[in-house]
Parts: sequence; C-alpha cells; structure tokens
Amino acid sequence: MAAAAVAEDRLSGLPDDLLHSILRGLPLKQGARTSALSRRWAHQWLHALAFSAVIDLTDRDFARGHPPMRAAATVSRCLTLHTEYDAPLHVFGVVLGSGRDASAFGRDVAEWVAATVARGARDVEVDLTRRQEDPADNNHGCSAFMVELPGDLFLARNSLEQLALGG
Amino acid sequence: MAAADSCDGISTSGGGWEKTVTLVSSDDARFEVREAAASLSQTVRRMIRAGGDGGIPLPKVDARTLSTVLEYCNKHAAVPAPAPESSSAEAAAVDLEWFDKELMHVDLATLCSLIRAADYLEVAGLLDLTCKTVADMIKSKTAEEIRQMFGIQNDFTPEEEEQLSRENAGVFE
Repeated sequence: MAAAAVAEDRLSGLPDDLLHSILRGLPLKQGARTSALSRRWAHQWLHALAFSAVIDLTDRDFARGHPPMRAAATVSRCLTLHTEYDAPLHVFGVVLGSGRDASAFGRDVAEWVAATVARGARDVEVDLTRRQEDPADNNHGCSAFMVELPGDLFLARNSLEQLALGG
Repeated sequence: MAAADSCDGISTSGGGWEKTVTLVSSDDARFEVREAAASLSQTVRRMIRAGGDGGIPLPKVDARTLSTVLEYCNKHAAVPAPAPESSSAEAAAVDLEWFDKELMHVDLATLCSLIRAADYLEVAGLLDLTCKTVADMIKSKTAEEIRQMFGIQNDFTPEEEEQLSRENAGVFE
C-alpha cells in the first residue's frame, strides 16, 4: 500500500459551497469523475452543476464517455435539483451521443426544454449528436424524429431568446 | 496615542499619510494594514464602516493564514488603476500573475485554510485563485490518484463501487 501521505483529509472537510466552487473550475468530465472519490463527493459534482445559472453539458468528451440513457438521466436529475434549489437559470445546453436512438429521447428533450424555459432560461440548446464511429449506422439522415414541444412555449411570456434543437 | 478608533494611520515612504486598520486574528495577533488593502475583504470593509475600538476581530482566521491573506491583499491593492494597453499595465499584470503563482506554493492544509479564510473574509480574487489551484491539482488525475493526493478515504462498499463503475463506464476510467 502506498503510504497515507496526508494524515487528515482537509479537502473533504470543506463546506459544500466551497467544494462546488472548486468543482466548477473543472472540465465536465473531470468534475464528474470526482463522484467516484467517496460518499462525501458522490453527489457534489451534480449539485455544483445544479446550483449554477449556466448548465453547460455540451462538452463532447462528456457526451462520448457517457452512455446516452445514463446521460439523459443525469440531465433530468440535474434539472430536478435545480428546480428544488430554485437557483436562477440563464443558459442550458446539452449534447448527447444518442446513437441511432435519438427518438427515444424525444420526451426527455421536450421536458428539458419546458423545464428550462419555466426556470427563466434565455438560451437553450439540445443536440442529439449521432455517433460518428458507429459502423453499423449507414442509413444517413434517418435519425429525424419529432419532439412535441409544449404549445405555449412561443406564446407565453418567458425569457427565451434562443432555442436550438439538433440531431 | 489618542487613537480610540480602529482606524489609525501610518506615514508612507512618499511622505503621504495613509489610513490603516488593525486586524486581530483568532490567536490574538495584531496586524496593522493599509485600509485600501484590508478593504479587498468585503467582510473587513463592512466592519470598518460599522466602526469600533481596538481593532477588528477575525475569530475564524489564525495568524498564519491571515498573514498570507494580507500578503495577497497588500500586493493586489498596490496595483494602480490600469491604463489599458500600456506596457506598464501589461508588466504589472504579468508581475501579479507571477506573485499569485508563488503565493500558491503551499501545502494542502494551508491551501484549505486559505480557501476557508478567503470565503469568510470575502476576498473574491483570492477565493478564485485558491479554488482554481485545487481544481488544477485534480485535473487529469484518476480517482485513486486524487484520493492519495488529498488523503481521501474511499468509503464506498464493494457493492456501491461496482454499481458506480457499471453506471459510469467510460466516465471514470
């Protein structure tokens, strides 16, 4: 065993909000990796994200390393937490490597858009990028799918300035 | 000495007169600091406004940590208002960056104390600097490397750990 060089774990002893300040300085993927450190850290990364006014999950590295169903669940959990914290939200962006199953996320996407707009987001982007490296996927352009957005999205008084959906 | 206020003054080398305040650490060390430097701490600034006798008590910061915080404040408060794009402003920025980097050459325990102190004293620049320093240490390391570096105990049960690695395949490699 490597020697326990540090007698006392001072870092984990910091209050949550200070851990969040540290985690926000990390790229998405490396931030997510801290969830595996210990119980103390298991939910800090997601909470740090959920307290933020800018939820930016567009890091391609993150989308690539994350199984899409799992990533979608993470996004939903993050938005639920954000609502619980009642933190302000300005920007929401997510890129999912959804493979050929983009349509499976239609309902999620509609929920995310509705939830983020309800939270006051100005700029919303959802990109269900197809996996380029999938050799079985040679029927280009067949991933078009319908997302049924809430009818009042463009009528209601909200702060939305930009909405980008791509697949 | 007739100064009954926490605000005293010292004469500067230029012959001018600068207002100072006295800060008192948790272990009762007293620091006389230029008010301009001490005011980089929003907490101290509010206490200066509130007034009071015999120095400003900072019961959550020990002398060793406070002296590093004040080193930061003295340096950053000394930087004159930048005349943008002048070569001297650029040199000052480079100098400041160098200073910050040197200041962060401390052990982990000190770094954590500085984070707490910067948060309590509300010195925004120092809080950013210290948090970013830790983030940079975490960057590009595996979970096990991070645990070893900071002495973090892995307290997951084997079942939890297996579930984590299953759920996060590809993310935590």
